[in-house]
Amino acid sequence: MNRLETVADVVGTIDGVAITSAFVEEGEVIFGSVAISFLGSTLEFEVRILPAYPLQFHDSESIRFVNKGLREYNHVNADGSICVHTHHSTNLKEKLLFDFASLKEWIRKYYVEGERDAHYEHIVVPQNDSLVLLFTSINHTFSKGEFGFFTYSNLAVGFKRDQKIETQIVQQFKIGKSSFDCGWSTVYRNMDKKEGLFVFIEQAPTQNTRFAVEKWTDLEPYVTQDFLKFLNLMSKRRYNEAAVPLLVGYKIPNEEIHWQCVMIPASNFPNYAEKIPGTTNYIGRFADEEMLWVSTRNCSPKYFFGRGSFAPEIVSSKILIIGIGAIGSNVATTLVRGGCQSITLIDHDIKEPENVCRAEYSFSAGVNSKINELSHHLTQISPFVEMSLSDHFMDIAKITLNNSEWRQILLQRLSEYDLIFDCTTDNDVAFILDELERPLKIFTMSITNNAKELICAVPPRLYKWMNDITRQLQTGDDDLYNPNGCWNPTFKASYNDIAVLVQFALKHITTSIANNSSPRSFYLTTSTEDGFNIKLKEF
Amino acid sequence: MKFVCQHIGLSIVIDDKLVDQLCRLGSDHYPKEYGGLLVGRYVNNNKEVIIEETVLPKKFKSSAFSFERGVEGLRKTLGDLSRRNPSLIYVGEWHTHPDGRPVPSGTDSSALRTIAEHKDVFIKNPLLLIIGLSNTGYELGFYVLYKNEIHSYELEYNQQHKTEINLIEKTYGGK
Amino acid sequence: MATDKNKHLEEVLTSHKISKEQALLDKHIDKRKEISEALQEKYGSDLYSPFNSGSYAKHTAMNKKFDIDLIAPYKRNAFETLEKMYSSVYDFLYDKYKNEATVKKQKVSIGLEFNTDADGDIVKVDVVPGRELNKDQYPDDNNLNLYVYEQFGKIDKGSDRIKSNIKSQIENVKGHAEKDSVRQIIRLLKVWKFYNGKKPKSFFLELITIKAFDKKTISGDIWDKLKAVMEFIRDEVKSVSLPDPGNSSNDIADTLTDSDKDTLSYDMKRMIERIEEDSDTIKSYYPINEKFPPEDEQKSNNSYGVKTGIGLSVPPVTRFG
Repeated sequence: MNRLETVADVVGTIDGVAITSAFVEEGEVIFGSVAISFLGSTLEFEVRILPAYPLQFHDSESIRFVNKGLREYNHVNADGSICVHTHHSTNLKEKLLFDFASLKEWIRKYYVEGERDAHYEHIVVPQNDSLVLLFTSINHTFSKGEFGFFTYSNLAVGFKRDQKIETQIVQQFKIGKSSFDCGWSTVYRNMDKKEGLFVFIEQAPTQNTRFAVEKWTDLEPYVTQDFLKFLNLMSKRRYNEAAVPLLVGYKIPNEEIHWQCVMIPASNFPNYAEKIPGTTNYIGRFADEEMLWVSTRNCSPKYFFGRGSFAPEIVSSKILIIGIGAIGSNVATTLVRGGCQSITLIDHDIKEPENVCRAEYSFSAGVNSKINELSHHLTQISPFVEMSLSDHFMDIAKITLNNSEWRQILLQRLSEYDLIFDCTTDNDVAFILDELERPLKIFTMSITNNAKELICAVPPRLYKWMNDITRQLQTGDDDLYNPNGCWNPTFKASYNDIAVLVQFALKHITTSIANNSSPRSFYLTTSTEDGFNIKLKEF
Repeated sequence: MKFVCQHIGLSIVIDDKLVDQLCRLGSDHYPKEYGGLLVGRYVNNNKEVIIEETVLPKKFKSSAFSFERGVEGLRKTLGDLSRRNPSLIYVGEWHTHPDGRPVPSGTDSSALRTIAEHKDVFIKNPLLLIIGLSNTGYELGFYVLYKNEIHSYELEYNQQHKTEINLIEKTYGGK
Repeated sequence: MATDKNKHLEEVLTSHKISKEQALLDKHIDKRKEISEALQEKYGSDLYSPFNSGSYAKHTAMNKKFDIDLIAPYKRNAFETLEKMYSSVYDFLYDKYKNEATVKKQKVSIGLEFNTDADGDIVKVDVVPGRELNKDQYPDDNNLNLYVYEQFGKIDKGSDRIKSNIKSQIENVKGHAEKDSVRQIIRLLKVWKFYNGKKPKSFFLELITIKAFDKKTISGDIWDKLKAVMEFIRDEVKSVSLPDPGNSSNDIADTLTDSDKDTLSYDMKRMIERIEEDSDTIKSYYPINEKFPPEDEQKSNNSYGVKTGIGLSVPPVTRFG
């Protein structure tokens, strides 16, 4: 039996399912229609079975059940296809049985019982893959009917499937004379800006409950005459761009707001003024034209770091990282990806090509100051991290440590941080940090040759402890990496060797901070006798 | 300045002016390496060495990554120094690492061993001073070969430094 | 390289002997005498004779941190309230010493930290003002009420008073049957506390050590004893009560919060694990006072060596990297 025959055969035997239009194969796709009688209702669906079936394709089911009339119900896509949650099977017959059973389950839950999920889903906006706007939270509560200008910047141009897609970020809202910045970091806020329009309408502009309105006339009930007057004024301006973005804002659950964006052709605004019969007054109207929606994403920290971030105690910390070689740069990127937003880097060193193989640096940046390259890298990762840099802070510290006045200033400066990671493997730095008053959290990390151990010392006696332990762990082999023409021997270890220890150590440190337990010195020791193992030795 | 090697209980004393002189000599040859001999005397039951002077080589070859010190004229100069009162003897070597840390390379370690074993050398524990030079300053590293191991010294921490530099921190804001 | 734990602990004790710092100790004693005389002159008959407390009086001192205390016992009618007593003594000491010392309000005492003297030494004296419970009762029972200046474990600030017969606290340690071992262990735990910046008050460590000796059979060499006391703290600190020998209704265990006790128990657990696993780690928990290192034969014999035969050293052509 071929594929088409199997489908017809199996579907025909399912209880309550009648084939209303026979299955045919066009290209590789099988089409047909069915009527499903279940729990007293009969619903018709077009069935489309894609070539990959019964396997999934691009992470979604390769069978579609479509009924445009059902779009107002939950778990129905804009094209009327039902989102069924089904089981996996590689057997065509078994898979068909699973999928029809899941479709019946959808009918019970969402059509018959009218269940609404507690989980909020954004309204469905017609897909447009040429532009996406990223917005983040701002420190302003919008009220219904508020409108004005917003600014945005071009972030990047990429590809989605085969189509070019431009990403822009929303920068600032201007309402009358006030302006409100989006919470991006300084680097992003300083980008070149263009201007668009916004209106806050409070209620999501929908039809069929979950779908964005598609015609300008349908938006009319959501806006005020004041806004239409404003739009009328704007339509008379000249624009450099072909289209002006209009952000449409509304409330969603949990006191949050969401923005959708519609593009207004610069030469053809969708609004006009209509004379009120019998008067000399005019009223603002929208034309009966299609709206060109583009995509938006809420990129505020809650969502940007939503899939996984460090505990709030760590995220909100003011962090100093001294020494950004293999260890420090790994610490830095991990903290930034984990949501940390205030990071200061101190290192006087210059990145050379041979640093790239095991630290967070790139060949493409050439010879470069480590602090500059890493801070660039970190701000590329996160739009929320504010970086401060110093290349000679520690040099000054060493010179001035014995001058009591400077010493006070120095210790004061260092004590402004909540969390200090010293990754310099410089005993002098450990010595200076030991002088700081607690309860600062300081972690001095170093790695022994071949990344056999990672040592992490905390005050008090950080300096002494680190030296004691290092001496104890020393095996006496001085098989350091010492290439031709180089008097900077360094330990031998790969990115993988180092990162696995740094990550383990950071996990241990952040767990202890989140548990509010006092920091302890520890070291990690590795063995390869029985597979690779890491053991924690806490003091 | 006094440097101490806790591990073996020995120390080094060197005058700031001599250190300045060596750094200046190193800077004059920057970005190439440069160096010379250290002469001085053992005191306090040979537990401390006072470095008094340097003897510079008449002939040397150097690059940014290496320094080869010649011997021409050394015997005479060292002979003269030994007849002084107090008598000064050869105690070790110094050289610079332009733009590098003052850490001995593999070549440096084996050089020290070769010196200690040489028939014309009568000290067992030659010192090695490495000066890490950069355009912003210098860093000193003192080492000694003791029982065939290289040991490092640390600066005693009650030293007063007088240099003052502005505390400047810049914020990264550009694109 | 394994460390002989007993030999090391002996060296720790030796290097921390108070007698090694006799000169500094003398300075402390002189200063305390001076303060005592100043207080007597100022308060006259309102004050009984001040006396010494702290570890030196108990023979559990170590030379890294002198906790030299001076107890000032006031008469019942000298002040209306304990708070007034405390502020009066503070104001007096502050006025008198503000130019030569930092004068600080502490938990139950007033701390004086004198400026570094010509030898580079710093003298610290804690003055503990106390008031007899009832008129003329002090000579009989030696009990005093103290003012609690700041939150102190579970004991609240301001409101509470610690009644304490400090003289019997001193006798408590002095009079213990196994006093030498007890003192050794107390001194070691103080060394640990000092170098590792730990919270428990010395008095707490003293009492819990004594309790451990009372509750458990503690014998063997010095490491065995220390370990037994650490195990006792690890297992019992959360439940133990430590009545103040000066006044059994005071529980010194209350000077730590529950979370402090958890930390202390965990400290002991980790410390025993690490030392049992690798004897070298004992050095990082119980370091030798580097100011008075034990005469290391090996190290003391080290010197810059000269080969046999006398000659002029002339080094060969040498290449450096």
